[in-house]
Amino acid sequence: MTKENKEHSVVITGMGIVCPLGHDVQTVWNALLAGKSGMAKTTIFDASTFPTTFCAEVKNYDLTKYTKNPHLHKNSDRGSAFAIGAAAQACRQAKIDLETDKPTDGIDRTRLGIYLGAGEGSIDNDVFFNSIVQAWDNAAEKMDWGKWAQVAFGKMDPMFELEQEPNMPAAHIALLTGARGPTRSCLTACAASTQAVGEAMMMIRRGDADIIIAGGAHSMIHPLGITGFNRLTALSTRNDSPETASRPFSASRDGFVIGEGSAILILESLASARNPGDGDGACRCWSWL
Amino acid sequence: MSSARVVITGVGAVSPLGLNVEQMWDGLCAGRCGIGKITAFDPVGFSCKLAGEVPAFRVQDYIPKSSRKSVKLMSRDIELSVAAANQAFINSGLITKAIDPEKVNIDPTRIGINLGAGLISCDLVELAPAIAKSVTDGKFDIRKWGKEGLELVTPLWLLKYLPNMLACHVGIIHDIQGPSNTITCAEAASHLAIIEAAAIIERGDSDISLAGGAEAKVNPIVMTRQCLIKRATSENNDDPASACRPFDADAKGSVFGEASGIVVLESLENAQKRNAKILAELIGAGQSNSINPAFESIEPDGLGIKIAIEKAMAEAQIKPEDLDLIIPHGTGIPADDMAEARAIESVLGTAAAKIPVWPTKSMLSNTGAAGGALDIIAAVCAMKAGRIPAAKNCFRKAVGCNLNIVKQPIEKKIRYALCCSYTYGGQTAAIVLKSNV
Repeated sequence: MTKENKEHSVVITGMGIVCPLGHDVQTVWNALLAGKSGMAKTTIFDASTFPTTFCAEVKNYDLTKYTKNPHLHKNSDRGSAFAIGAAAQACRQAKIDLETDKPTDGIDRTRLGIYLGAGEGSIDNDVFFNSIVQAWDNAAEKMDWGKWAQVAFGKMDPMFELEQEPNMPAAHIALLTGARGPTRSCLTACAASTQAVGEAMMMIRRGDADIIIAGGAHSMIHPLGITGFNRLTALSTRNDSPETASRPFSASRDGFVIGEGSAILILESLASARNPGDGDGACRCWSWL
Repeated sequence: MSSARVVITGVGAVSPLGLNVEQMWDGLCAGRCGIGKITAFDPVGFSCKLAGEVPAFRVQDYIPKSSRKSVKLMSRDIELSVAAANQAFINSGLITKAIDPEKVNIDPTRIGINLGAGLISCDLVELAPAIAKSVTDGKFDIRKWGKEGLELVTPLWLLKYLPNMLACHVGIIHDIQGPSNTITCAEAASHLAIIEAAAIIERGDSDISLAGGAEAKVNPIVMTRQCLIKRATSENNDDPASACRPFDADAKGSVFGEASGIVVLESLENAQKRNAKILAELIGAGQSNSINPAFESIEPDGLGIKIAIEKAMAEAQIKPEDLDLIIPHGTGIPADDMAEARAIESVLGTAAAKIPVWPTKSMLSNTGAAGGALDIIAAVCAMKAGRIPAAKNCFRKAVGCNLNIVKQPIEKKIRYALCCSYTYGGQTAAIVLKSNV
């Protein structure tokens, strides 16, 4: 992706991560260097009788470390919560002010966009399964919709339901950063965040934005997600050895190990990254796209 | 950078007003309402019992025999997109492998696909027998599910419900090998997908793109969700045709539905080379965010919508008075309609009170990820016909709304049209079309 014209160069000026190996870039990198594994027995729900009983969970995550206003994000799904943490880290590194009506970072909010590869949130499992248990007439093989509606309307939490929509991680990041530039979410399964970063770069090159908060966030570690992948026989079932289960390209591989998390990059046009506010005018970039 | 001009050369729609674009346009002109009592499931106990349902159709009619096995893996959302995609290609004169393998007239590596898709909720009836087998003492037992229930779920179950499977099925059927993406920004999704597809053509990464969206919202979970967050109307259940009332003083909420709208976008050069009929040109696009901690609503001043419209108008390089038609998002949710009206008025100034504003959801219902594309197609039809049909159900404008909601059909040449969309969660988009008539 070399560009003769430097005007169109796009650089990375901030990075943030929340994943099974840690909640910041340095910790995760050190863990990768040390060959650590994020896989272990599933604890988010009782998967003990599933064909696959392990996964890679984000552990001990504390959203309040990343936002002054946790109440505004209190209903967020795991994916959104991880996105908030990763975005907050990346924005701080790139010197983008957070959670303020009067930013002093010199960034025009209409030129600050968001592009996430993000998935749907986890359903309210208890209500979902039990509403069906109560409404399904096994003999007649029919749903009693009146009964179903009674349980659903009585027990579903409106805001929790809304948070399951795949555009919500981007909504939380907009609230966090005040971004008013182009904002999109794409959901192309495992390709989503790569597509998001690629298209975000193109949006900057086109001149639609100076800075884009780009990356991805998702968790499918929930009963229906694991059910789906187990039925596809896509998941490793090496239940006796979670730490060695993920073995890409190995002759003895038996499927993937599902994980969760968020990773966010701050993409900027080179001109934006050379913001004179930086003092010596040096580019505060990490990498070129 | 390459900067190709991007035109629309084909349209396809499956909507509550019919199974093709002609039926949709005829219905819109006649002021027909596609909203009725829900038949997909018994809505007893639902605060909103209404929806815009697509008339019965067989998806097999839209795919070649060789692909028919894939029908088993199609959720309703996928079926809708497959039907509209087939129509859009046929309308454009492009011949794909699925339309006639002997006469293919396009390079598959130069066609892309960008679809807006919704959160596809699973079919509860399909899962119910497996869940019913996983019960202990009258309650769902996850350990039983892991051992026994799970085994009863059909192996490829998950593949029906991934949003990117719309573009996947359409892509495989028509042999689309260029860039593919799926935008999941709810009610703004198909506008954003069209904007992205146009940028991909503009920069030269494809010559042609299938763009738009599809969503089947007539599902108990989706409907419950919209009822619970109070976006769905709870009134007029006995009078479906009057239920959705964008910008009307008596508006009480939206009515949701199912549809697919898909357009063929093409570089002007490619369209001219093959002598395609050019329906309209995309000349401006804008995107932004509404920021509101109450995620289900648009911020009252409509700032995010305003920024998107401003950017679209700036890119189009036209003046407000050049616009002959505005199709707003107009859901019938009073506060959101008002925010949108404020946004339109603040960008277009005094011209806003004169330009005909024609909301369509009173007839087509709110079809989520399909809605923006249906509106683009409606605008193209209006340009072709030189006619703006009357708006429905806006008899008395909401106080504070100064838009010129179309009362009587207008016969006139439409030079430029503006389409707007926004969604709960905040993403906003606006597109300016130029007539080619």
